Amino acid sequence: MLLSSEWRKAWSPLTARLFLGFVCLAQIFYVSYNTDPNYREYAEQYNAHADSIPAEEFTRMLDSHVASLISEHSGSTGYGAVRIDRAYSRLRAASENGELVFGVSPAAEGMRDQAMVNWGFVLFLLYFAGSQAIAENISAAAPLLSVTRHGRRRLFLARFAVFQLSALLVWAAANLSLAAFLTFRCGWGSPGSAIQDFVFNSSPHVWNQLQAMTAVLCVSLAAGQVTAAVIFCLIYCLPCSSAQPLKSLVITSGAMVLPLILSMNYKNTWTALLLPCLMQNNWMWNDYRVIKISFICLSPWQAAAAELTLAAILVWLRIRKGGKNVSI
Amino acid sequence: MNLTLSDLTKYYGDKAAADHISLKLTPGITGLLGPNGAGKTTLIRMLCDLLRPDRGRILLDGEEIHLMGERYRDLLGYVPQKIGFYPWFTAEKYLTYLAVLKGLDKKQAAGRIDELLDRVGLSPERKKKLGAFSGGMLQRIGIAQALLNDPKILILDEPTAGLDPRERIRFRSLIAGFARDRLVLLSTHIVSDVEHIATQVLLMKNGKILAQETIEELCRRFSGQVFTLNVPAGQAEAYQQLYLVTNVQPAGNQVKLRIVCPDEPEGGAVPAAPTLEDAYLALCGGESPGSRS
Repeated sequence: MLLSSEWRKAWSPLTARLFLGFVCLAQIFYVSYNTDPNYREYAEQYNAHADSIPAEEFTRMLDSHVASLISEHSGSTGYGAVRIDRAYSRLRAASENGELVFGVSPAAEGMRDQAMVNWGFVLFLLYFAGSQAIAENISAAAPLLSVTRHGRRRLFLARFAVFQLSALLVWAAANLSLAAFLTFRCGWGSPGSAIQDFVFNSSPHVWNQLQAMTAVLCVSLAAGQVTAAVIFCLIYCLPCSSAQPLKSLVITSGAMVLPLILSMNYKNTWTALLLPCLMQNNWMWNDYRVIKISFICLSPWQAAAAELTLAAILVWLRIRKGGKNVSI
Repeated sequence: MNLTLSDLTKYYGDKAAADHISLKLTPGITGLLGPNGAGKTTLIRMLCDLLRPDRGRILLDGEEIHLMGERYRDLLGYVPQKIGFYPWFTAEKYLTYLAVLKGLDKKQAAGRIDELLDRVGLSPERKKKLGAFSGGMLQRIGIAQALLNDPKILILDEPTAGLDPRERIRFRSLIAGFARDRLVLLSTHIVSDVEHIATQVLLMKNGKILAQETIEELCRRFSGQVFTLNVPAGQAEAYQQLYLVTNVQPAGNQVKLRIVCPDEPEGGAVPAAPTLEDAYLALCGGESPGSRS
């Protein structure tokens, strides 16, 4: 009952609901604006045929690509020809067996490009948490609430839960809206057919369209939830949060928006790994790259998993502490 | 049920907002009187476990309130100086929200809200948004929310601020009716709020408790020290410099002064029965006679 009360309280301002609608539409407008007017025709062609490059030619391209990778990394320790070969072995086997389809999946490409979902998501959460923190400060209700039975730890945890659920709602609404739009706009063809579109043609993963999107969306969801938790912690748990929520909001906005701006260049793996940039993780699966820390070599997805796990643990510890010592 | 304060101290910088306060609160209405800046709100916030003292303890029947946590808050009703509310909530929704926070289930909450809205005279406005409420109406909602969990300890901080005289009388009867076997602490700087309903009074100034007595005992302290005196209007100010004057009342081309003084003033002063206001001003509000030049 506490959870539903807090949910209703958080979502009662009309601006929150309008902003949610805007977030759902932002990516749709972005995709519409950035795609060819003949997109639908092209999508129909792809869905019907989808194999514009013969398998033998693809195998030759793949061998050439693997050779260049080996040459590039030959001087480095920790990984080399064996590791690269191993990464591409399944892909090569699938290519030799003629199992791959080469071509761009317009719907999948549209779905994987989450630039506006990312921005909309972060800006919405900053607005959502910030406006509530400021409203709490203006209302001066904190002392009154803190004197009630559930007005400290349980209220704090309920607010955190509402915030996380709201983040899930925003993420799901934005992605479902986009998926519905793409279904109407260009259709999905055969999600189960193994593909290597030009975005993927140097990827070591033998994935079909559906698997590729699932990987991207799962990481996007995990990154989104951890981003939301970090935003909540920054806005509600900074020392200045109860007396100066606007200051908390400014600090949090800087912490969240700056990585997004820096990461617009995906070639810079480090900035692209920062929260909340990880929500747009298409690049992580596109090619063979490693992150070197001293003598340790990590795939980007391994680094991302470690980062998300560590961030989630730190957030959990902070939420536990925040629940016990609610500032009044 | 007893609330015992033991050597309670709280500093803000160098200033002691609560200065080694030790006292015991028992069921009944206790008025906490003091001028602005006396430390009343600080004391109240410590009693509500909103503020940790720098030194000392607060015990409810021997148990420290800070350690009791939810069990203490279950017994507590609090009306703060400024009622915090969400303007977009209706009165009913606001009380429902607070009822949930106080741990009432849906059915209990609905019944209690109906009863309390009726008691504070806000039943017709239950669907009205709080943003449209007047100050007096908000105060009444504040009182209603404090009574939701039928608290055994009710703490009110300046609850009649912004209320018109009729509302203040209504408030006094509400509190008086509630306080039969409960501990009520009513903090105010308006003497009349306390005069009619409190069983005992705490006088506070500069973080210290100057007196903890019944109204009768306090008044008895100043027995034989309160006088009324008619003086020409032009001399009133001079008398106010010499004596502690607790009331000035125009009477034609003279003024009637009410004076608190150990010795009878010259000029035909008539002894008067001391009131709580006389005692309050004598102990908290005025400079002592003789310090005036």
